[in-house]
Amino acid sequence: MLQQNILDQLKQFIETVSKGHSNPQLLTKPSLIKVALSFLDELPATRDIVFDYFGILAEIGVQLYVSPEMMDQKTGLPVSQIKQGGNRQQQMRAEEYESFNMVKTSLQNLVFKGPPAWSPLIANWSLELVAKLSDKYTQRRMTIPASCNYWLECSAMHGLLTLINSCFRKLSNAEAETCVETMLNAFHRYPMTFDWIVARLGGCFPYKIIMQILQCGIKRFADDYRCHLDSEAGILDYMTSCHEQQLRSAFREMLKDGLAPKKQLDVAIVPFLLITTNYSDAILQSLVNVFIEIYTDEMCETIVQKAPLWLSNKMFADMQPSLNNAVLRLNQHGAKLLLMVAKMAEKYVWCQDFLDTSMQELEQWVLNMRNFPLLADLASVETKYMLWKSCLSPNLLEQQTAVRLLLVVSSQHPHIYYQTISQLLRKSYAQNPSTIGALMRLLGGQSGVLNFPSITQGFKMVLEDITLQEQVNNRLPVEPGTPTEAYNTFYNLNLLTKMQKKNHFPHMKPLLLTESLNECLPKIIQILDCTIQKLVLRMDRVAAERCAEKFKMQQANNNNCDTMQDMYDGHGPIKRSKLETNEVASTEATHDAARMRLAHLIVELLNNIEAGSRCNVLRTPLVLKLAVLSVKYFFVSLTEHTVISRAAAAHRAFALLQRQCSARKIARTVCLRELVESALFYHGHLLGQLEEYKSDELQIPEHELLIMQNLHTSSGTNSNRSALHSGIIGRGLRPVLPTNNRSCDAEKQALYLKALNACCTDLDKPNNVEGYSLVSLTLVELVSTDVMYNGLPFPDEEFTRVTMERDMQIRRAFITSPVLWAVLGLIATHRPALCYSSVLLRALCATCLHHWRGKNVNKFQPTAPNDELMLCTKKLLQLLAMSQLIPPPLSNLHTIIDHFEAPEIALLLRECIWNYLKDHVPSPALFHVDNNGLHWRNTSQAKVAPQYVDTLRQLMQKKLDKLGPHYHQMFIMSDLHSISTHAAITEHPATIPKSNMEVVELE
Amino acid sequence: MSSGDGKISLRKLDYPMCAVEALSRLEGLIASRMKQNLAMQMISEFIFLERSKDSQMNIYQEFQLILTLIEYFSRPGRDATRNAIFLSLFGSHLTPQRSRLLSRLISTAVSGSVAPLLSSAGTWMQQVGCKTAPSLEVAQNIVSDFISFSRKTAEQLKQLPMVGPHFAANFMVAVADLYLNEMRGGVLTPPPDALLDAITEWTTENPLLCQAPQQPLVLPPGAIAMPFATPLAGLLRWVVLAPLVSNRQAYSQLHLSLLHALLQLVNSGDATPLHAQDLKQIVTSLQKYCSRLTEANVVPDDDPAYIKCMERFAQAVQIALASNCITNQIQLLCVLETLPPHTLMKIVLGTHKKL
Repeated sequence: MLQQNILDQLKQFIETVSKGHSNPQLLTKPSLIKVALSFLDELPATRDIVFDYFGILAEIGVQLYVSPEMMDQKTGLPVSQIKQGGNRQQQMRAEEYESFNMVKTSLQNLVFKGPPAWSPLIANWSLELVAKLSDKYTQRRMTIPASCNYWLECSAMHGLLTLINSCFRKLSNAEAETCVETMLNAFHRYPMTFDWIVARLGGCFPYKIIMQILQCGIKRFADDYRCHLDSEAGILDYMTSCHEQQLRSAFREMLKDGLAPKKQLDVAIVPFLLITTNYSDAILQSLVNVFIEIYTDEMCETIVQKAPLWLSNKMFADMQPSLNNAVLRLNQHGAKLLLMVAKMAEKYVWCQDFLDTSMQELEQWVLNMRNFPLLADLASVETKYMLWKSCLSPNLLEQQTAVRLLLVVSSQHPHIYYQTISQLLRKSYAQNPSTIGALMRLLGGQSGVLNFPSITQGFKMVLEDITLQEQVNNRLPVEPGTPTEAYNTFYNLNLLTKMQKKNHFPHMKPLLLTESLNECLPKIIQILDCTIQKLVLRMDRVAAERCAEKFKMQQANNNNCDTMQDMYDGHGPIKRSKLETNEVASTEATHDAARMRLAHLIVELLNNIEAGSRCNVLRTPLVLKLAVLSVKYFFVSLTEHTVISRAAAAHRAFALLQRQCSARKIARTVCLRELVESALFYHGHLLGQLEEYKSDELQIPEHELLIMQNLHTSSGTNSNRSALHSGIIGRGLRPVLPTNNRSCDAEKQALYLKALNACCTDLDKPNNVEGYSLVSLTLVELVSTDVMYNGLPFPDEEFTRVTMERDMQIRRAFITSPVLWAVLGLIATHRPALCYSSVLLRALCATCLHHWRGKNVNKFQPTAPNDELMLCTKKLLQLLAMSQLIPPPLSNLHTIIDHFEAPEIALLLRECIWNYLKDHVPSPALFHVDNNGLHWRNTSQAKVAPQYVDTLRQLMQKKLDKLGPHYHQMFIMSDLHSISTHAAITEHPATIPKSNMEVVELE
Repeated sequence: MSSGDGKISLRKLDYPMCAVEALSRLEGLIASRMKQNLAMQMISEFIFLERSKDSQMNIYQEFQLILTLIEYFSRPGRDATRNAIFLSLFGSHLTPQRSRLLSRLISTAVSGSVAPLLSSAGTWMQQVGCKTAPSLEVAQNIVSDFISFSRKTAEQLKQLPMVGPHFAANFMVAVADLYLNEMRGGVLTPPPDALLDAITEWTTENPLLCQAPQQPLVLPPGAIAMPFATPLAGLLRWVVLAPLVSNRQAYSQLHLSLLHALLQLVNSGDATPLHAQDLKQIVTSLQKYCSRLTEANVVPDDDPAYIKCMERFAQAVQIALASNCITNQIQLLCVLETLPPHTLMKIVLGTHKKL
């Protein structure tokens, strides 16, 4: 009978199992296992005994797993996959080792497909079994992850945990509660060996488990504050990796109680939590996260209030040192925490203590090149922004803490250092001047750290940004009047460099700042370039507009010009639109004003860091660029509105120019050329240049242009030089040049000359005239239109006919650009530089001669006091005298020239001046070089031959009544005192240029 | 032969041989109704191994004993002796160990369909009372073994009325007391579906099963038979109260078979298997339900569940009254009148008041 059969099977089973304890081979027979499994269905009463048997099977598996017999020979670890990995002996036991798998599969089947009553039963049984086995066979204490790894390799253990997991998924709430109970009970019984199971399985009911673990931890802690909480902390730590949310909410709950204690146990919560954090970084992190989340100012009060209560706990009182490096173990919110403390530090001493020790520790660790989690936090983006914000805080402790943190992280993450420098530099410290301290501290770097990043990169970064901002016009709209980042940056840099110069910068290596900034010179120059270019454009536009307006006025007054009428009408709408665009213009004006300030700042900075000086190596294009920009800046600065600001700006430019020019020859060349060229062609209007009509403004059709006609009619070699036309065919005379009612500003001219002077002076060799010679040569190049006959010698006067047209143009250049006179005056004082401008002098002389001669002899025309021809002649004579190209008594000619009449003047110019110069070629050879390198012509020794003077003597004698005193001085005195004067003059040479400076400022 | 000798010779034997031997000796002792104490000592020492202080019986020994007992009871012998021995082994006051063993023993017997043992167990149940703690424990254990932990209802459980009708009937009494009983835990817990199905099948296929307890017990001389209890009252409670918690079809089936069983009772004559006390329990539960309804402002007459309850109740009462198998009829009728009025019940009550 079937039933009888079952009872027989049972009997046999019991016999086998109860007797076969020592015989695993017998126990693990699959047939036996099958019988046992069938009992679960057929003979439910035997459940307990069957499960007991399963327990034995599991134990056999575990026993095998831990036994040395199953050790892998190579690795020393237990063999987990015996069938593949084991040796023969081990493979023979594979069946025993794996026997539990069959049980596991069936039980799992039961859990999944069977009635729900099985799940709690199997769960509890497995839990108990795992606890027992783990406790029995754990040989040494391991960390939780190690335990997990070790035991999960064991097939029986793994099977059991899988079973538990499957069961847990099937449990109802109440059943789960009891399972948690079971688990925790087991944990209480075997706290050392069960922790990994709790941690592993806790994931099934994370919150419940975490809360229970915390509760039981706190109970133990309250009983004995010295207890070890390794297991609890281990479990929490393990579970944090996946269930941080639950841990946090558990902490939240507990803190709520802990901060408002109601029960005796609640007092222990905060100390307990803090102690627990000592065991694990992850727990600490979670706790801090929760704390940061719930922290409010009131909470701070509560903490202060409740602290004595916690301190009654001895452990808590002792643990402060360990709390100090707690912050170093955070990889989130660490910086936030420190800043929070820093904000409170003024109020509470303990905050200060905490901050001090923490920061010291932190810096110590950095010095020792240790790595720690806080670094990761500091390196995160959010923290970075937060720290930057704090750097600008007026609270000194907060500010300094932020800076120290940034310095700490900078040693490992240079880019943060650079970014920070870049950020702080572009802030305005106008409101809180003290906050710039953060920047200063930051630039000082972290002393003692190897390979601390250099500040140069930071500068480069901010300059790069600014360049972009300046180059791209459409920036975000900002409140008008707020200084731009560029302005702030350069303002701050200036401030810093100035402070460093005054040695107010104790943190920093001397000269570091200057050197770094010099390294960034290309960037600075780029920004300056951009700024100046815009300013120049604007200046030119304004000048062009003004010129056009003036020209129109002129035309309106000009009666004989009727053709302009139509043009005039065309300008009506433009004027109206100008009114409309007034607003635009005004914003543009403020922009320009800001840009101008920026340019000033940049140049000031360049001066502060001594850019372009000899000690810094610069690439040639950069040198050239800087030179050009310096000159442009000079011209732009002339447009400043007040005298004082003009002077200040000009002085900046002088310093800049002088430094460059004395450092590098090429810079000097470029500067001078640029200065002269600009004064003549580009920015002449600043220096009183007369605007010339553009040819198209005369509206001459192209085919009527004389030059075109000449090309058609003549093709001779000299044809283009021989024709003189004082008008335009078909139109009569050229319009008269506007009288120069814009006075050639003496002040600006003086500044200009000083600029030239700054370029030319050589500080090492004060008597070096190289620079001036260069100016002279440049002038020739720019003013003289012809490459031929540009040499020094004066030819026969007859020959001037050949060059007359060119000479007229040169003369015209002097008329339109009066500043040329001043420049020549400057050169004249630095002998023999003027010699190189011989061609200009010749042209002036020739044209004057020609014009004087051209005056009608029969018709007396009294010369007006301001007659251009007379002035020109006078100035020419002055120049010649100043440059010692004509010796006394000719050198006094300019004082008496206006007493003569036109033919006389022509005669004088020809006989005395031209002929003298023709015979004594104005060349450096005329001059004697003394020991100081000063060029000097001893005119008292070189007596002028009578053929050059006699004409003058005779003419003067004719007018002796008027020129008596002069005659005396020029002819008689010189003869008498020739020797003594010679001696006197040689003593003073150095003072002469200075006194002459006033003379050359011609009206 | 002295009593001491017997013990010494038994002590030389290993377990479970000593238990086997002890059982055969017990037979004599109990039959002679002598040396009751010695019998008890032997049971304790050699059968349940309670004398050795250091170790309890382990689970393997328990099952060895179970097998021994099954073997013993399967042997041909007098029913009276067997019942006597069973009652000596498991009295009405059991240690937890014996109680656990008893549960396992009966469960195993059910699995193995060991009729003689089940018959003795049935007697035991009646003697200790079907609704007492040990009986209930046994019943509970059988439910969990064969219902909760079973994937399908075991064949052996289905055949239980054939194998051990007396035990089955007593089991039903106990199990009826476990479910849908407000006296336990204050809530109405419906029986597991499988259990309900099994019992419905039992009663449907064996209408006389409910009367099985009425058969006279085979007891050793001198023993007094305890009053029997039928599962009718308990199952009637299930059926009547079921609409409140469940709407399974099986309850209607069970109701029908119960009504059949009540009709069968007429034939058997003088017995009064339904106690008014048991039926009053139903009334109490219904009254509580009605008061809850009134609290929720529902007229009980409008509540479909209540109406269904009352209909079933009225039908059962009508048939029970007709077959005259209720004690204290008048008392019951008075109690029934206190319930919120129900048409069918009113008619039933009206009919019987006239009589």
